Amino acid sequence: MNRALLIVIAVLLPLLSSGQSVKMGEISQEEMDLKEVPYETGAGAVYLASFGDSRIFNGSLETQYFHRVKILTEAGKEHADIRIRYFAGTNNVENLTGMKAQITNLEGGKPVVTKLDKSNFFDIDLGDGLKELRISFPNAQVGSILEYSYKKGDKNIEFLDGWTFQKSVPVMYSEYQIKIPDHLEYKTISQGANLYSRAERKSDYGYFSWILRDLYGLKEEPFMRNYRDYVDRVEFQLSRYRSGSGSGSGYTAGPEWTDFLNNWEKLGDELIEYYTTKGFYRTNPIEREMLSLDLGGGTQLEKAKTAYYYIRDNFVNEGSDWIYTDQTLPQLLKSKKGAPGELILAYMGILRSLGIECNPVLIGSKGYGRSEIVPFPFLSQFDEILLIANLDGQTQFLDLSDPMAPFGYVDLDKHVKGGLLLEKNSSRLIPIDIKHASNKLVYSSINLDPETGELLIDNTIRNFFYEGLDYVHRVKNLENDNKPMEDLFKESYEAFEIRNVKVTDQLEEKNMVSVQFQSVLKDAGEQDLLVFNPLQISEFAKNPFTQDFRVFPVDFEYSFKETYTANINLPEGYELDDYPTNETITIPGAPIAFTFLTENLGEVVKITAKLEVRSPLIQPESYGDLKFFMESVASKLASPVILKKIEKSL
Amino acid sequence: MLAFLLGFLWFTESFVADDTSKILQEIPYYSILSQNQTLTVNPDFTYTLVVESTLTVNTSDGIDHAYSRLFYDKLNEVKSFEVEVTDILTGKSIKKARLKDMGDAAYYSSSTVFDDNRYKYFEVSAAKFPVEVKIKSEVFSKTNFFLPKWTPIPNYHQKVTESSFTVRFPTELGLKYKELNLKGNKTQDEELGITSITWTEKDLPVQPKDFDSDEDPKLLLAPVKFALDTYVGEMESWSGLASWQSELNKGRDVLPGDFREKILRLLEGVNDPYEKIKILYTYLQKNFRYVSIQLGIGGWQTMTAADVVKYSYGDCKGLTNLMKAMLEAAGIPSNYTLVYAGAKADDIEVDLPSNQFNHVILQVPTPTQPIWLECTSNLLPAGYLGDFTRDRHVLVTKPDGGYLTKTPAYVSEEWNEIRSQSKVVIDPQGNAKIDTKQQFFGNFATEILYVKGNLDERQQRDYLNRNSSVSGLIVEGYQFDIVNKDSLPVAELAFDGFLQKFSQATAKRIILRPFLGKLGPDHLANKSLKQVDEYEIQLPEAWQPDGNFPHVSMDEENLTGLLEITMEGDILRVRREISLKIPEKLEKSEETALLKKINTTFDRTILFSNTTITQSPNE
Repeated sequence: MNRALLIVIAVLLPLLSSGQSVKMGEISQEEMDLKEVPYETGAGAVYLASFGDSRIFNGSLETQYFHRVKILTEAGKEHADIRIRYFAGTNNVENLTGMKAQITNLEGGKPVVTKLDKSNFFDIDLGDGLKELRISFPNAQVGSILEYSYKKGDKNIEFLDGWTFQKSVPVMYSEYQIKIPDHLEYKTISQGANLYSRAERKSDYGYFSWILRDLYGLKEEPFMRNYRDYVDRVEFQLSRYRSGSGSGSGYTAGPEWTDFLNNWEKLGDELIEYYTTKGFYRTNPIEREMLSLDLGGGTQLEKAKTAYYYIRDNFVNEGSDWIYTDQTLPQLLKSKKGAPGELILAYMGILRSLGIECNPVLIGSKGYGRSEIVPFPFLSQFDEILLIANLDGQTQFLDLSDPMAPFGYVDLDKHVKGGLLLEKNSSRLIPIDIKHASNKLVYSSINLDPETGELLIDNTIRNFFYEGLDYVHRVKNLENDNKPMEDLFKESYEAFEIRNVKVTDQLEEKNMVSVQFQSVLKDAGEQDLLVFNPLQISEFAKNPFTQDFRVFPVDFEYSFKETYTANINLPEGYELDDYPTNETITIPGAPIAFTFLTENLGEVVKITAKLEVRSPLIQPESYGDLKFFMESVASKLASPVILKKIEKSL
Repeated sequence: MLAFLLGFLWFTESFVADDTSKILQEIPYYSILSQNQTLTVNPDFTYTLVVESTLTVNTSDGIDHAYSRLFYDKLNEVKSFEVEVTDILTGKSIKKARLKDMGDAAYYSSSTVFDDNRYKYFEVSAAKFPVEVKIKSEVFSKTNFFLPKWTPIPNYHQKVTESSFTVRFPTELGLKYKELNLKGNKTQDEELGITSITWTEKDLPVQPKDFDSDEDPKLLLAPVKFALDTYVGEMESWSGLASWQSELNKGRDVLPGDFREKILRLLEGVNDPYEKIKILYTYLQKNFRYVSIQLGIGGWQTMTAADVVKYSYGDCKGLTNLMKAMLEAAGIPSNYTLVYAGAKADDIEVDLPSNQFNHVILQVPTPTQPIWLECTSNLLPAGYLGDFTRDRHVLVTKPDGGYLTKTPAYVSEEWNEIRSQSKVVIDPQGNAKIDTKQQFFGNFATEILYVKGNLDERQQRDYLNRNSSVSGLIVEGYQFDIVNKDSLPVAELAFDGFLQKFSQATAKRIILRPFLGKLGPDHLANKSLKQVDEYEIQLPEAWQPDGNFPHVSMDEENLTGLLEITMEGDILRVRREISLKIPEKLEKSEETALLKKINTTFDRTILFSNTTITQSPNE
């Protein structure tokens, strides 16, 4: 490094670190005085400052970490036990060095610092190359400030882990900076609403930095399974490097730039080559495997279905869904057991051997850490595979992740916006739009049995597509546990009793699973006023959104409609006395809507309710409206109808 | 065809239920096991366990039955391991492996910072079935303090043709055992001072996944004379184990001088023994935290009190030992007490004195009932045990022995009471302002202690919302107060807020949404319940009662209840009382029926005439 650059760095660093001391022991009075986090009252602990500084030396990444944590409540003392997991592998791919930690307590108004020694650090070998450094801070009290720092070395510099800004508790200041040597060029992959909207960014002379302040702690929220995809973070993918002529010894400085990333076409070809060496692009073994199967006649769709069910029902689906395969195709055909990715590729082989156009599509599944595809060609953003096929001129996405899913169903975690289509010499990003109408239709017929005096509600729930598939899994789980089908419905400990549950699985033929059951109110005939809720089973009869505010978007996963129709057959000797009023509501932008209608048709009273989710992802800004909306829906879905005995005149 | 039939018979076992319906059930099995285990206890209190298994795995579902996991730590060592997989149809050996081929991993615990619990594992795989898997393993233990138990049927859906267990031990050391559901043979002999006992079970029934574990055959073993490290003891009686435990912790309760002085200063001017215990327990709760570090003998022997003071942390043993030492300094004797903890844990086998414990609490004897202290909790009041340790047998240890006793169950009404008083003002649109005060006594207070102590404000508000008897509560202000009465946990909760749509408008009426909370299984968990809810509801002037208000009175054995509703001017007063005692053994179906009965009885609709809404249904 030349002298001029050193001066620049010397000038730059204080600028980058302005606003917050990230040196151990330099605790401000404000931090000493802090009793609670203003924007997250009651938090047990807070990261006052987190700082990461990455450099690349001799082909390794070194990151200096520093954290300053304050314990705010008794429960927050659990944050005095720190766990840092790292992957050492067999040759110390990652390693931790230079651990330092100290705790500062106020005693008699004065800060007393205790430095931790070796007896407070524990290095645990978890097996399979994973290790964990654990630190237990002594004398942790409410008000204690814990500080710890360490250096992590990482031999992999092709993809840099970078920095995640949030923690399980609030973070008031989080800063990351990285120095990229001038012979390496990285693409920055940044993610998260805060990072886009309010990060303080700087970049000078190879230094890049990001600062975020006042971040909420990460906590689970209903209707958000994959919050990891929304966490604020930066990562880096090596795109090109400059190497000396003929050195051939890695990413050494030199005059010539060499592309590391290439382009989508080359990236795709590399993967195709990988799958080819594993045998998945060879059709001979597949053809031998399929000899017993009659795939001669019919349309491409029919052939594809036959082959799908052959693989699904004759191979054990076991292992993690992943773009790399453990087995070769011959091994898979021999073992009859494989991970979803292997089965998917074998299925591709069958379709291709039948002359069907079919290719893999790599995707970053939900929960893998990215809500959007990154528009430049690096592989580690993808974790799972699906197939795209042309069947009789129609585009069809195909998957084999779920051993219970019929043909054409794609695991919901793979319903992402786009993926990388692998096609020799022309691999490219494509949009993924898997259409399905995963609706729910509930029909109820309500009668009073004059003999038993029971109010009988005969219900039929028709669950379509992925709603139906969900039921198939629930039924299977009950069967496995020898549980009655009545357990499909949560016991409410109320007057109605669930009887005669019957499930009809027509998912393969009609994309539908029907559930029929009776809900019965005993001794209803004895009452002069019969008050009951005609809509018995909606999961939205209770508002799922009870939290005051929302950090992550609400994700209903897909658009759907739930329609409830209840026909109340007026029993002889009764009249309709009262009923819920009509209502039509939505929220601004109309991503979700609800209608409720009562019709008096003489001897029949018809109640219809429809909840429609049109845009499944609702941003936190709309949460207040959504919460109020769902409360209104819940109230309406729980509204009673009143039937009254007609007084007989003597 | 014959082969097909044989195959079919091979995979299932007929099972005739005991009841008169004679339902024939077929429980499939995925592997067939024949196993011999030999436990050899040595004169130096070490032991070796050799397990030889032959498995015939019929289908891929049974391959997990061949999975091996062998525990080791500083006291236990895996000596040898061999496995061979053979294709039964061809007789060809498919796979052989030894100890060096086993994987190695740590037992991962989110609650333990550091321990030495690890395991070696080996996963068998096979592409074709059936296969035969022969496994032989040998583990060595430096102590006979804990002896392995024998479970002849290790897996569900496994057919065991023969399983035997032999224990050899120096007669002089002694051995105790307890047989549970064993129906096979037992032979015993003695030669040259070595006693040998062999149990053999043959053709055991296949167990489905929902098999009742109380019916599972097993053999529990315990030593008479034993040693852990250099500590030798006798487990002939509970007293023997207790005095050994005291010896193990002897001398580890010395307080640093300045710490001793500090805590004694806290007690200056205090004479009441309970008050002293409370002050010291509160001091422990505020200044020490639970950190679990278990290494070798440290899994059983406490950290020294001085170390716990030094680090301000310790595990259950360390914190209990420190509390004991603090009480000792204050002139209050107490007893280190072993317990098998767990919210739904089975009680220990009281007739088999042995190490059946996983946790430690403190017993402080008084002239009347002892005071119990859970030293790992920073929430509970002094003298109250949570569901982790209450209502079970525990071993009180003292230097000269000890005894088995039971911890309190807290089943009487004063330990299980909830009261609430609410004032509600409803506006003409049916929305309401609510002001509620609730008091929780005993077991019901512990949840509030947790909510107050462990949740942040958003989570606390969410808790109030989710637990509101009327949904849609928007909390404005709230306050939790802990006002324990000695060892009785008492929590007070006050909140005010806004209730969206407290009433439902129908075409003709106003219906108040159900606002008296429903009872669920949690209300019955403690065998008694006293609940009193009072509402004072101010109604809009235009609302008039529609018919008579409901009235409920229940007076049954173990269950009384009352619902009274009156109206004065525009104020509606509602009072519900439920008093309940639950039989010791209540089946799930009986519990459901009882809850339905109570909820149905009190689920009464309150109607008002609605003169302002004129909408009619579409006709």
